[in-house]
Amino acid sequence: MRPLIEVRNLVNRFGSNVVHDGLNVDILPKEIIGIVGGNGTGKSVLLRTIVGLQRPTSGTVTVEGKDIGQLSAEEFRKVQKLWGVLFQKGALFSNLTVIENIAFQLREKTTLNEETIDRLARMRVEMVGLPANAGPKYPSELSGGMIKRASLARALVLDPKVLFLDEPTSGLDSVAAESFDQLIRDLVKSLGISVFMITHDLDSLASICDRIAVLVDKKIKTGTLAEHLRDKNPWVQEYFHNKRARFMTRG
Amino acid sequence: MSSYFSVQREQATLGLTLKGRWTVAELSEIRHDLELMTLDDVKKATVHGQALEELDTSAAWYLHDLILRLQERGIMAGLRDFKDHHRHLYERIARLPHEEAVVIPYISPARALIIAIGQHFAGIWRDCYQGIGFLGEFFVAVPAQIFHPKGFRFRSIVFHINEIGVKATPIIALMAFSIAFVVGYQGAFQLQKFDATIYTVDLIVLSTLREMGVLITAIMIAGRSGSAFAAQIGTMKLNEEIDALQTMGVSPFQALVLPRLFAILIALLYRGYRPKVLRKTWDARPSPLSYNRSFW
Repeated sequence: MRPLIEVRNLVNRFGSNVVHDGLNVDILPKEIIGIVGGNGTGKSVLLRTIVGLQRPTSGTVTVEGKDIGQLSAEEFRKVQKLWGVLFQKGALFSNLTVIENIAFQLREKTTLNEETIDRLARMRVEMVGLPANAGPKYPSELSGGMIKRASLARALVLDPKVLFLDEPTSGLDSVAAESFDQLIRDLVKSLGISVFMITHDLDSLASICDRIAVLVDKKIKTGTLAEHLRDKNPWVQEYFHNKRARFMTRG
Repeated sequence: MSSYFSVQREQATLGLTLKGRWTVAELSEIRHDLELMTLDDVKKATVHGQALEELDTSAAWYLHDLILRLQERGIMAGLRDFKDHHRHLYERIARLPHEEAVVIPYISPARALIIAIGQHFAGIWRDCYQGIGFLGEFFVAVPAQIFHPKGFRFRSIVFHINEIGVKATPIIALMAFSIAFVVGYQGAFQLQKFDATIYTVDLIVLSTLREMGVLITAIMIAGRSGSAFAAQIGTMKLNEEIDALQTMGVSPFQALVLPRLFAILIALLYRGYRPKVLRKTWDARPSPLSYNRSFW
């Protein structure tokens, strides 16, 4: 299967600090790929590089056959339609209500009339499992789980093919995290999208990810959970065989 | 007729064959095309989806809404031959608990105006109240600081003097220069009427150094440093740094507000102060009338 996004020989360096050194990773259609790695191994930097928020020191990011480093600003805007991003803290616009946040891209990028935009936004609110009365609220009035859901609705509003999630379940209690995982799995199934998910939640890794990419030694090792469990690399061993992990992989 | 669907009519039966891409980008065109369709005497409608290339969530919702509207008019409507993933998506949307709009009670414009005015004044009152509270805190904190000089944040004050005073020098100098410039040529023009252009220099020097310099400095610093403080302390508040200070038992007022206040006082006193030497030199200058006029 031809990958939607290919990252090749990626090098990211900040001053003398080399974060990525010749990293390769693919995002395949309709898969959920989980990214793990220790603190400061550059998981967020990788995400930011792929979506073009940051220019890599060297290496290429190819989206549907196009190297995003070579695109003009206008061509890049077209490519950007391919993805939606859920930032770690939601990044909802604080001066807009939930409905307005979701409707933002519909207003900017389509020619639909106000009534349709409003109803589409309300449909999205329901689709991510928020109560209808959350719609007119401002982000400051929402709980952590609701912010994540609203932000997910906003990321999905133009039906992207790839969804980038930066620690979607961090800061959620285990019930909320579990239902968020379910929601993502359900949406992936019905919308047929790919998900690139940075996570430290071993439960989500085990339950919803098709492949797991481990950022270790400035490179990426991709495989299924079972493959990583057999890995001899000391950090990977430590990550998947510590007390917390054993609790999960045993069951 | 439309590039998004074709219509087959057989007496009371309507067949709608969808084709092409049905996504949010095409939705307003699709909507426009569909509105041209007439529905009189239609009893049954079937939507065929085998030729549909792409269906996204927004279009699926629109399709569902269309079916519901047909059913409301007493038309039997259904889907046929949709691709599996399109059907999945459609069913996912159809399963949603159908939107009950949150009803926002109607408020007449006159009432809304009165409410807006009331809220505005309540806001002013709240600001005054908080301003008085802030001032009160200041009057409590300053003596507390003076009697407990141990907590005096000398480094912080020096840092802020540099930020507020020293770094503002170029912009204040530029402002003073340009205002002096304007006063100079406007003044010279007026003084010409009295044949007193010789006093132009006095006019500029006195007005800038004695009056406007102080004002310009104060206004520039209030604007420049005021917004900088708001940004700094606002970021700290968001970052929960202020809560952290409070839980450590350190008063945020003493740690953040007082150093800035002292710094701004010291910086402004220095800026507004004219050295005595300068003043004496100025007073001892020869009268402009004693200048050799041919020099000018």
